[in-house]
Amino acid sequence: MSQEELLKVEGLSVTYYGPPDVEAVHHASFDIKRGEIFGLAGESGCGKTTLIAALTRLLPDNGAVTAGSIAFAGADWLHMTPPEVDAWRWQKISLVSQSAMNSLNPVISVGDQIVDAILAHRPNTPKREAWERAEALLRMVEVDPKHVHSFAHELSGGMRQRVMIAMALALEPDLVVMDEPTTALDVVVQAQIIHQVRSLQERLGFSVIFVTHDMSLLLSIADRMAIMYAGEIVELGSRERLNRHAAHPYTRGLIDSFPSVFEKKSRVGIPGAPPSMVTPPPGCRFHLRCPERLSVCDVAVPEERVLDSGGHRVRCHLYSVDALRQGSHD
Amino acid sequence: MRYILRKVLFYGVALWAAVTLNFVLPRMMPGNPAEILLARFKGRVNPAAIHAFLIAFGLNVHQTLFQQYLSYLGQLVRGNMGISITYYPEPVSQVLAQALPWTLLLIGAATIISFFLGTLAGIVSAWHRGGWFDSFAPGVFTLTSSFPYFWFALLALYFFAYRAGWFPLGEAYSGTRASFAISNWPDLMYHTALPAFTIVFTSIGGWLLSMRNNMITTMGQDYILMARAKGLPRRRVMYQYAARNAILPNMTGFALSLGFIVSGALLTEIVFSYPGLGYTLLQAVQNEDYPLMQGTLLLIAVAVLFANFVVDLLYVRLDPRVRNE
Ligand SMILES: Nc1ncnc2c1ncn2[C@@H]1O[C@H](COP(=O)(O)OP(=O)(O)O)[C@@H](O)[C@H]1O
Ligand SMILES: [Mg+2]
Repeated sequence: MSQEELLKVEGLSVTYYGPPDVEAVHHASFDIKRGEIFGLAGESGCGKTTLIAALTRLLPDNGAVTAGSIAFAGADWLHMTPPEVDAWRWQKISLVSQSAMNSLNPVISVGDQIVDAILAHRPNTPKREAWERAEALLRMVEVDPKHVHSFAHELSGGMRQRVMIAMALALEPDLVVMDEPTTALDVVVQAQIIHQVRSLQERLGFSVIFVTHDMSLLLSIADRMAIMYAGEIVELGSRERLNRHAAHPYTRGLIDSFPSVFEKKSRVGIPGAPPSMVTPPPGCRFHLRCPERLSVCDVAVPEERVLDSGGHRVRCHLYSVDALRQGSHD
Repeated sequence: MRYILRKVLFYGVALWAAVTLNFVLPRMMPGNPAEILLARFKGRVNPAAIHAFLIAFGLNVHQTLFQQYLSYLGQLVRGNMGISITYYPEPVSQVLAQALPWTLLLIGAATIISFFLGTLAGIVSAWHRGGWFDSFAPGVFTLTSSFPYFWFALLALYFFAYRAGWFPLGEAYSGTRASFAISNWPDLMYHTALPAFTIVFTSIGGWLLSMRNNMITTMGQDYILMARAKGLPRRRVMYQYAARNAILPNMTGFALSLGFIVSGALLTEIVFSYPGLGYTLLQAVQNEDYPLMQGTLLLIAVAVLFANFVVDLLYVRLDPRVRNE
């Protein structure tokens, strides 16, 4: 991939202060190119929303970035002041949150809420123009523009989600972060919305970070993706690579375990439950549930290995030099 | 519209129930109110007048209960609630009409001020949670709300009116004649200030605390996070997104307290010899003045219903969700 880099995350760690303290993201590194859909997958509780919150600088009061850096559109994003962040957010990076169902204010109209976003950043826009823009945005996500005057409770779940996507696109941002945007929806609506996101993205050229715990969904829409386990990115690569050569046993487990929107597979599932994030297991965080566990996995933290020139990388002892030499994973 | 129609119907039925109850209750009490009246008036008023009075109030013992009910309703529609015994020969309706404005002025103003100040303080307290205001206001006003009212009002009267002389010792106006003319308002304010203060001071804490709690719950909602993420001005998030939603659960409580304005803060009116409805009710009870008691209670019931109705209408404007119910 030779596209321009939009966002670069390096060694990012996030802690929620307790008690107990929880390090919900540990040393995450990845980058987002302009115009790509970047997927982020992992079981519930692995830190996806936390990572997203750090990226959008929306961590709750008890959460803080403890290490690492984020370069966003050439700026040192983590060191920008709150007013600067307020000015950039939504102009350059916007969010469709996990609970988009509850993301609309129930007592003011959908149009008011879109216009609010426009006027907050472009205060000189005439009111009429802002409302016309709101209608155009609804049309863009295939919601009848008359719904600018509707309230959240008058819309179906799918429509609310489309409204949230329209809202996120209101200022034509470079990057739209979508945190499990379809989890609460039924399968048919889910497929429609995914399709919508894909075609809007192709037309408008913004980048997307698409978070989900549905691996097969990701394999159908993301250009590249990262797999998270217990706060760490354990594998990252292009869709083609992960589709055919998923390296981490956890990734392979995920691919096998989730029924897809598009095809029905039987659930195989990964045995066991995710580990406690308060005291993550020593060695490889996945070793307790790993079907291909080596003795080294219990004690040594695996280094990250690059597997191909396209940037496919994995954090797993199976690919460490020693393990390869011993051939012990066969 | 369906919602409003349903409300109108509901309050219509409730009003009828209140009016009917007002008729039935005295007749269920031990002793016939007519006999009590007769006993009180014996020898003081001539029998013909008593008879006319009884008929006027629908207490004619020679009528069936249903006939009495019908003539009671008929009288009520014409605004006739009988003659007060305490203020004989003034009709009850006139006694009430004289007392009502004072209660509306004092208790009405105090209730509304308390609601607005308490709500505002709750919003600010929750918005700057842990800030300097939040660290004292909820505590202080919870304390003042737990003062026994009677004791506090007496202390206020003693210190600020009797000792310091900043306020009058009671009553609603100077001189012997009440006037609501503009020129007289400073005098009315002068008389209302201290009793109003005691009410606000001891009731504000409830509004503050409940609004603060509602705000804190609301501020955890996703639409607040989204509003912040969109970069909206703080004030807009605070009022249009947070407070607008947080105030909804408080509207019912506000409706109730508006309704009870008319019952008057009985204690306030007693302590400050304030000529409102609470004071009137006390007079009625002390003098076994059944017509006046009935009239006052009916007025209170109607006021509670009316206030609730108004707040229900207001609620439609505040919460679009009820419009489509
Ligand atoms: N505000 C918070 N305070 C403390 N811990 C939190 C908070 N939010 C999330 N966590 C914890 O951080 C971990 C990651 O959560 P989250 O990022 O929501 O995961 P995901 O989005 O992948 O389901 C979980 O263990 C969760 O309990
Ligand atoms: Mg999440």
